[in-house]
Amino acid sequence: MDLSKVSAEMINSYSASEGIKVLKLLEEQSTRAMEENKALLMRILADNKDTEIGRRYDFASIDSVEEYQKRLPVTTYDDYVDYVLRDVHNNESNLMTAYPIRIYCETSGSLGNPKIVPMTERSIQIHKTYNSAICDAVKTQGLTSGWQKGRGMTLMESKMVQMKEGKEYGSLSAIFMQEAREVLPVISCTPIEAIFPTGDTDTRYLQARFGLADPDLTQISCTFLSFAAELLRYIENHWKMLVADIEAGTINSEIRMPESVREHLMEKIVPMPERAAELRAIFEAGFDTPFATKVWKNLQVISGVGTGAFEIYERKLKERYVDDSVRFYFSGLNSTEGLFSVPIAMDDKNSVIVPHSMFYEFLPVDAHDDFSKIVTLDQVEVGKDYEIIMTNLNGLYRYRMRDCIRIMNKHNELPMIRFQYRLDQVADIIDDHTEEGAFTKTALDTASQLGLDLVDYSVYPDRDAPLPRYVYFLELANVPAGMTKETIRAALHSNLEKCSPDIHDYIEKGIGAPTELHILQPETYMLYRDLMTLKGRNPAQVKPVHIITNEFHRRFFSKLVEEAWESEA
Amino acid sequence: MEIHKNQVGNAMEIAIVGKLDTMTAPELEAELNTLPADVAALTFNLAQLVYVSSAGLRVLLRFYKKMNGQGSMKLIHVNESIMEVLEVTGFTDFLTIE
Repeated sequence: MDLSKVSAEMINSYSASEGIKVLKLLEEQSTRAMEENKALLMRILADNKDTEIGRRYDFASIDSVEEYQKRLPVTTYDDYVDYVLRDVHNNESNLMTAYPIRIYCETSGSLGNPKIVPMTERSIQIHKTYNSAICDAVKTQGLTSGWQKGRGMTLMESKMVQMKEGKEYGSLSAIFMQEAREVLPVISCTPIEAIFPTGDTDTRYLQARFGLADPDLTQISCTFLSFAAELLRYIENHWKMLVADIEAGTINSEIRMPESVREHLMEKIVPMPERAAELRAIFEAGFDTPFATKVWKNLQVISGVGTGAFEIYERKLKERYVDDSVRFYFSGLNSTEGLFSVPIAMDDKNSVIVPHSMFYEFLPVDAHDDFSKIVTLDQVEVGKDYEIIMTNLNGLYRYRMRDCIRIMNKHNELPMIRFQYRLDQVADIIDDHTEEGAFTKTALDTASQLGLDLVDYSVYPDRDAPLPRYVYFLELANVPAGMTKETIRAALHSNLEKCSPDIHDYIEKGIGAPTELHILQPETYMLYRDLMTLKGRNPAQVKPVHIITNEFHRRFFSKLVEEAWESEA
Repeated sequence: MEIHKNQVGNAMEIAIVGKLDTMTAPELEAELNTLPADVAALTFNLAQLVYVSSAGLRVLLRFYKKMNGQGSMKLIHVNESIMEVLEVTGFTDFLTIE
């Protein structure tokens, strides 16, 4: 392809036009959602009748949803581990799925070790059709046409590795990045070297340096909104170096990267004194008002996961870095296991399920694992919380996702859902079942009330204390002068009581203790991410540890508290 | 914090004296960026390191990643309190400590 004849506007416009067709298709499906979803199930069963699982449960003889539910048990990852290992290590096929497996993907493993799940070509096509294209279509409908003209900043790192058996292993986003590699320089100001990093390349510097150099940037795309917040914080802390490098047309010699990468990048850059002067004037004016929209006057949208544990970062972006002119496209419920839902409007945290992506069943959260209460998409009730049980195109059947979603509304027959929390990400000091969202709100409200710059938080339900209590760990970038730890702790406790009223009752009854607080050392959450990456985790899949559920995390964060705060009288 | 370097052939020893924290970690990071490419064996002598914070651990991690590509790295004379930090944070799983 001759890229000199291709513009960002051409590619973005084409993607959006394809997306608008998919939106129309989804609109048609929305009027007969159950029919479409049932047809998908029957197709999956027919296509997979000769797989090992298909023969075991005699898929060939199943002709109704009811029979399927009666015949197959509800499953978890443990039910598939042997199949995955036989496939990966022994090269056996036709075990879980008859569809060709393209790669093996790592899940984010927010509750423990990451899992490997197969990803079929059919599933990848669904992700592409409904996810990327619809995102561009919604932007076209919700933003001014200018968004298509500028490039974006891509805060995703693509990591694909060859397993010793020769099979490819990586993340879903890595596949998309690989396929778009040729056109990425046209639509993204982030250099290829930061999207496909080699060696110990400091990708954050490259994202920031090349992003700042582009005055026409219109969008920031990331897997999780935390990446955008971290990048903007990095710019705030390192703007002098970044601006000097843009002015001189250099890459700072202290930035880590292989020499070959540095040489290649140096060929792409020239001194930009005018842009540097413009940036310097903005940064020298201070950071009391959001700087991102001054640096990038055409910035229109930030897209990424912003629900559940990531709401904290949306709020941080809005409070500190961008003004009201910047819109958000919140990714729908979308995981390695499958595409669950897509948003169909800007700034909307609700998303509609996709009847062609997987067969959906819903277990009411208050049914407490009574599987007889499972319903299909035509039977869900608005306002009620469910766990999704899915049958997908990757060989998972009646698989529990352990995500709690709420039915927010219906778009024709399509349920509109919103992610609430990971079902296992609920903590108890006694029997309070405090959800991650309540802990997040507590931390955010406290930071907002006291003017703290919250980097992140973790919370540990300490049931071994003489009276059980919650122990918060906060990493703070800036603390107003004179602020005491006790002031922060008291505010945290008060806010937590509002979010989880049982805690107040426990203290009143003398069976619970007030919330404890530790302030973490600077860079603790960055250290955690660095360590997880070193251990082989994909950086794009490392999620924050908000509820501490294991001894390693408890000891890790307990050991990295800031001594100066601990010794406060 | 003080940093004392001694290179003999392709072996380098870096002794860190004092506290490796948010304030001093950039000094050590500067050493990382000037580490000669011919260093194949890097030893950190931590006998007089009295404190290491998250920021300091991140710099040690970067040294480890860099040395993975050009040789080996080990820590020696690690005192009890620093060793506890390294154990709890999982550094002892991958670092060579003598």
